[in-house]
Amino acid sequence: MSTSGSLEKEDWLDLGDLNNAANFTLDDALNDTESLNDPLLDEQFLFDGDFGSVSNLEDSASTSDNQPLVYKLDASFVIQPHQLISNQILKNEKKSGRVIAVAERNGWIAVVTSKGQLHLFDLNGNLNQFHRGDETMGGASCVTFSLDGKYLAIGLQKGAIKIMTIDNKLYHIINEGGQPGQGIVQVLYTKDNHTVLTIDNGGSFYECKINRQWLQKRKDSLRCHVSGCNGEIVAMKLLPGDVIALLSVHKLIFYVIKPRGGQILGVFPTKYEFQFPPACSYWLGCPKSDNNNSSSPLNSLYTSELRDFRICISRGHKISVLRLHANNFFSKKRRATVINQFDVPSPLVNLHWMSTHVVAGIDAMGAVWLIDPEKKTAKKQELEDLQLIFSTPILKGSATGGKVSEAVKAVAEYACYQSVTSATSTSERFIVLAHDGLKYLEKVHEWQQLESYKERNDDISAALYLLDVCRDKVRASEEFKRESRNLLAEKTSKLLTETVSGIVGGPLSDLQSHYRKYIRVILKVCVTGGLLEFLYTTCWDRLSMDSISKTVFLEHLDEYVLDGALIDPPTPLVNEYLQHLASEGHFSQFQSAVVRFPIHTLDLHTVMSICKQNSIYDGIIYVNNKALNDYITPLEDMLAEMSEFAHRGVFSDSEQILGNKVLVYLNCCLAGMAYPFGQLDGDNQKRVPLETFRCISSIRGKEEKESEEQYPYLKLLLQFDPQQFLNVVSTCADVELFQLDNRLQRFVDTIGQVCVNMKCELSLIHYLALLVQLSERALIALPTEPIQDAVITLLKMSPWDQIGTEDAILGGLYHATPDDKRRIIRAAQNPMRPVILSFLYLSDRKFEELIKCYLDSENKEVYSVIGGILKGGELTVQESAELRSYIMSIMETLYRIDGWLCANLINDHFREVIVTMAENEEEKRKQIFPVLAGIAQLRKYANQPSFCNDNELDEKLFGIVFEGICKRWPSWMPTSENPESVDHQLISMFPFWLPLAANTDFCLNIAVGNEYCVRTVVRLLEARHHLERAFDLLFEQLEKNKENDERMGELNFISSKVKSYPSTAEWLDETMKFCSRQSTKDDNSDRMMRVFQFISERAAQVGEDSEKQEKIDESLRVMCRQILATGTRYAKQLVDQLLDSPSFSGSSFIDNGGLIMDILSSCDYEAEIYQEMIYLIREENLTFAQKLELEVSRRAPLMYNSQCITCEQPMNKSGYVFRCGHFQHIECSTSIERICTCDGIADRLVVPREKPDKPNKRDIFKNWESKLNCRVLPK
Amino acid sequence: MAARNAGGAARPGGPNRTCQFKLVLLGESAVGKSSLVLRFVKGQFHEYQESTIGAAFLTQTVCLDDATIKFEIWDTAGQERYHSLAPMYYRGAQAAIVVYDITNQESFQKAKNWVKELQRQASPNIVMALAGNKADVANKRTVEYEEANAYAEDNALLFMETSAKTSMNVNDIFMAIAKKLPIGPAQGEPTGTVDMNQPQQQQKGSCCK
Repeated sequence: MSTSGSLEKEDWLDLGDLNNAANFTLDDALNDTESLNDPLLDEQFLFDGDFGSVSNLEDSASTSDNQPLVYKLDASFVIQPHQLISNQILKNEKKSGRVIAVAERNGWIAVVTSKGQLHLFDLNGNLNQFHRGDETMGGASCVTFSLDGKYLAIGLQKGAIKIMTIDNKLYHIINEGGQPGQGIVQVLYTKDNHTVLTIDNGGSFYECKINRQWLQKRKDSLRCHVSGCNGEIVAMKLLPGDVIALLSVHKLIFYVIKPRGGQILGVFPTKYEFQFPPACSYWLGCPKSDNNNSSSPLNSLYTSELRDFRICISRGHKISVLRLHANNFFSKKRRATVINQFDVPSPLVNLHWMSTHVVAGIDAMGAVWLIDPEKKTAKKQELEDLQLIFSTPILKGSATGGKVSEAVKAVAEYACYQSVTSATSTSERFIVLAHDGLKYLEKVHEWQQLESYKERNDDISAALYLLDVCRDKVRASEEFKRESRNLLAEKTSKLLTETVSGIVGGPLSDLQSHYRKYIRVILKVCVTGGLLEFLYTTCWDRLSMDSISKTVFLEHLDEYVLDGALIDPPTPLVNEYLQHLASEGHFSQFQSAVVRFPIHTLDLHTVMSICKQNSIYDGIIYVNNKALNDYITPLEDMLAEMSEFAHRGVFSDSEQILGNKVLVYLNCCLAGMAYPFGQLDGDNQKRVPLETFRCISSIRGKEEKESEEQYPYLKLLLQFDPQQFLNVVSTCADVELFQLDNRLQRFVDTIGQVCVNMKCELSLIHYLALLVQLSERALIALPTEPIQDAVITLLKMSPWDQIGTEDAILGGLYHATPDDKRRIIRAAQNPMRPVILSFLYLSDRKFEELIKCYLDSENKEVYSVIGGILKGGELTVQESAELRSYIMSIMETLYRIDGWLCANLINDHFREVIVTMAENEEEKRKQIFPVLAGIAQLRKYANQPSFCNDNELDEKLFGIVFEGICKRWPSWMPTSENPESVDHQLISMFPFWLPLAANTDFCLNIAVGNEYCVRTVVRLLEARHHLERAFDLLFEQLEKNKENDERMGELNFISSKVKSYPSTAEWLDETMKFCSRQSTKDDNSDRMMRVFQFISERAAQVGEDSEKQEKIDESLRVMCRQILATGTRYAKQLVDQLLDSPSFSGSSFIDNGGLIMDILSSCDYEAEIYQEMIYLIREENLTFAQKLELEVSRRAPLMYNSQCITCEQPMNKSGYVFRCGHFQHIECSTSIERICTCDGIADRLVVPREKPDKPNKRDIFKNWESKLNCRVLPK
Repeated sequence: MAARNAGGAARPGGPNRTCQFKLVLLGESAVGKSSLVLRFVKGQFHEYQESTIGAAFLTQTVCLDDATIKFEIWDTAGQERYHSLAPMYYRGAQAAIVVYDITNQESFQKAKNWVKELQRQASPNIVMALAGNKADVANKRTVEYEEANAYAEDNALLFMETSAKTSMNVNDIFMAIAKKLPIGPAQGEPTGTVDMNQPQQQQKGSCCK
């Protein structure tokens, strides 16, 4: 082994010589795969962008009208194969082996082969040297020149390094340039030209110092900076400032080799897409030189001025651009900044930084990408794919038995570091070794691009390209930029010549297309490229000679006119353009265009004529303003036109546009601004607002006819859109014009006067809003009187059409209420404006007056007002007492106005009144009935079954309600023609009020008095336990109705519809319900049987209508089941009765089998219930019986002492024997609870007697709701 | 604009140069300025010509022996309310025709005022002509030819009595102006190449391009 030194890392990484050096080793840095936060570098990285944004340049070329003008740039690079060298290496491939790696220096190109041979060519391709390799050392894997170009180092696949001179053919071999048994994958000379850095396929990084006297066969010193077991270096690159970029599988390490080790400057993570090898390339700008596009990579390595030092790192799809701060390399300051990070669409495998803004990338498929590191763009170049020679077998260690590191193996598939090398002289070229030979990849210069267009006769693209260069849209050298203006002018002139030369022949449309194609470009180039004079003179003169080209030219001017790009256009052009627009009917464009041309270029006569004919007000305004300095005439003209339609409520679109324009113009003029944008000049800024103000506020208007009404313009504007007009006033209120001479106040007063005279609700509403607004902004005095006038005018108008009127009045009054409100109150009373009155009275706390107002008009709102006052009026005690007293005094009136609302009021606030309502006189009862009915309803809702918690009084009060309903006294309750509706109303009250109604016979007697209240009577009888009478009454109804009821067959037991005469079915339904309610009574089965008999008899009487018969049968079955549900007492009779029924007796088992089964099962069920009950009784009593038996047979307890525990006398008198075994005379016992005085300290010999067992209490209702799960069918 | 008005760059390629001149017509209302221009430009005459609003713009080219003259004619409105517009049009004009109505003495007085104003405000090299229009109704003449001619001579004005209706002297007066206009190579005349970098530069003296 020809290496020297040990592998101990502390011997090599001397980091202690710098205070600010990293306190971790290169190995540490490499092994730290989890935490990539290098405290020296990464923490301070500033990320300017995120990954994920990929942008490509537009490259589609089209000259269609609808598409933007674009052109296609050729590829930014050109690939030039070196034919001579390529032919030689391919021709001798069999003999000399496949080419593996390439290097270039000072006009020499070295190529090494898989057989370890070296071919040294000059740039012309002449083979200068040929060195046969030793096959026992394996094929070559890499080659490099020393920086001075004197030496060559060849890395071999079996681990040796061959050092050669290129002049005297001497060579020297280092047998193991890396770890023993590992192949060399990269060699690199450092600046001293005597140190070779190597990387082996075990991921180790070695430094080998070649002895200057190496021909003396002295040992070279080899030291390991990173051993493969600790780090996974896959490639390295020499950077300026003696920095070495070490590309590992996870990160990029900036490393400096020192005499006694090395120092890490920083670490940048590249921890993504491991299958792709990381690549990096640097750019060192030359700030002193303007032309830094072709700096020499070799020179940059020697330079000491490292100002614009950038590095581009790629890994798969990711690209990062870093700026290295060389001055901070050995300080604690930031050493690098991330400038950009972005994605490219294809995974890159190699990179080369060509010029300031150009990085060439080669992807895994060999495609070349143009990368702009600043714009973060990547564009695939339309070039042939470079079939690069990958170093896969070398990295995978095919010559050394595949013993390589996992990291190296991972990137082996796409690694091609050895087949790309930069040229010595210029960064704008690099050399690649491809399967089909050696090639140069060069950056295409701007001149070449231009020449390329010229060759293709593509003047349009050339002009657009030059335009972009002039406008800095395309990167170009400063020299080219300087030339580009003249070139553009020449090119445009040529384009014009091509345009006017037209086409040789063909249809007219072809000629139009030809003109369009060129004129679009000429216009764009001239306008945006600063060739306006050329456009105005030469272009216009020549193009206007032909009517078609002239039309096309004018058509394409639109966008530039609207953009204001035509600076100082010539008069003929302007007027031709405007006339063209007018003749084509493009009046909208005409309107927009006319205001964009300087006034002195306009043919005013034509423009004004067109504008007047087509109502182009913007044009009229513009000409008047700019040419005649007249701001009022257009306003007056527009107002005159507005007067034709403003009185109408509905406007056409054009009328609306005109009106809106007037308002905008007015706003501009009053505010001293130019229309439609900009500012007026100093003189006009004062004059125009004043003139405008005088115009619109003039009493007579323009015509000044005596007979006309006053303030015609104000009236007109208020008629058209009061809201927007007053908004204009509000917007301009703070301009100087209105601040002088109290103008605003006077103006607002005048507007108010006009509004009042107009009696226009909308105007008045917005006028009130304006007053409030201006007053709040302290621009006018407190507008009490104007508000009063406006409010009174509004109050007198009826009905109101606008929903916001009331709010506007309230807003106005709230803001400024006049001291004397009488006029307003009077106006608000007729017609009645309750809300306004409420506001007025409540603000003065005149509650009684307010209520009186409502009462006078018998307005139902009175109740809510009273409620509101009581609830939210924050009354004082005195006020409250007075108000309540007053309301009590008007209670009778309140009863009358609305019973339901009154009931609510009383229920909420005056419950004490209820007790006074138990009137005896019928008239009074009639009066209070609606209120009481309402209270009853409210109490029902609130679940309060009482009126005043006095049973007697409650009965009386409910009696009034009952009587009222029964006798149909007028009330708020709904009425119906149907006499039975009363019955229904009463019934609907019963679930709640029945107990009260049934307390006495009062209600029953009243109900009986009404023949239609049968149900009510039945319920009352039932409630008063007159069941037989109730049933009889129901049965009576059945009998009574059977004659005239033809609808017996339709036995619908639940009849919801109210009919004038209830059918038998309904009464039957009632009867059945009654029976159901009384099902627990013993005698209920009798009633049921009566009903059943009634039905069956009726059924027999009904004809043979099968449908009806079927329904009767069904009803009978239901009845049967209901009867059976009460017990089996009538089962026999039921069966008899059924058998008498022909339909039953003659039916099949299928029809009535279910019923028979029900009867049987119910009997069975009853029997079973009895049986079960017996079992249950037995079971429950068994335990008790057993205990009883035990107790009976038990011995008497032992007595501890037969003497009294108290007096200790013998047991000769009556006494107690306690469980503790003690005896005590009754007379000696003082304890009420009969407890022994021994305090429970029993003799242990005495067995205490247990307390007699009492059965535990059970809640028999505990499972009341749960199902019994009884069988109802026979087993 | 100034470059164009003052006469743009001469177009190379032979003695027949194209020159562009701004010409303004001034005069009292209803003296026939628009009719005069209409007759000159379109060869038409309307008995009832509508009143001009502000100013109207027309162009007409006349050929001289050695040059083509392109007139950019501004026909101004004669009404008093448009008087303030006039400076905008005669400023930078190389020629002006002051028109009066030979049947209206007042219009002649007004013409004299216009001449004075032009002498005071317009370019010192402006070629001025005095046109006594409506010569077809000479029987109603109130302004004598001699009087006007004398005034023109005194003020170095071209003078003709014209009739837009009959076309009398219409072309002649324009031709006379064209002939009197300075046609010739300007100082520092460009020599074939156009410096597009300085499109707005002022070039003095030249009227041709």
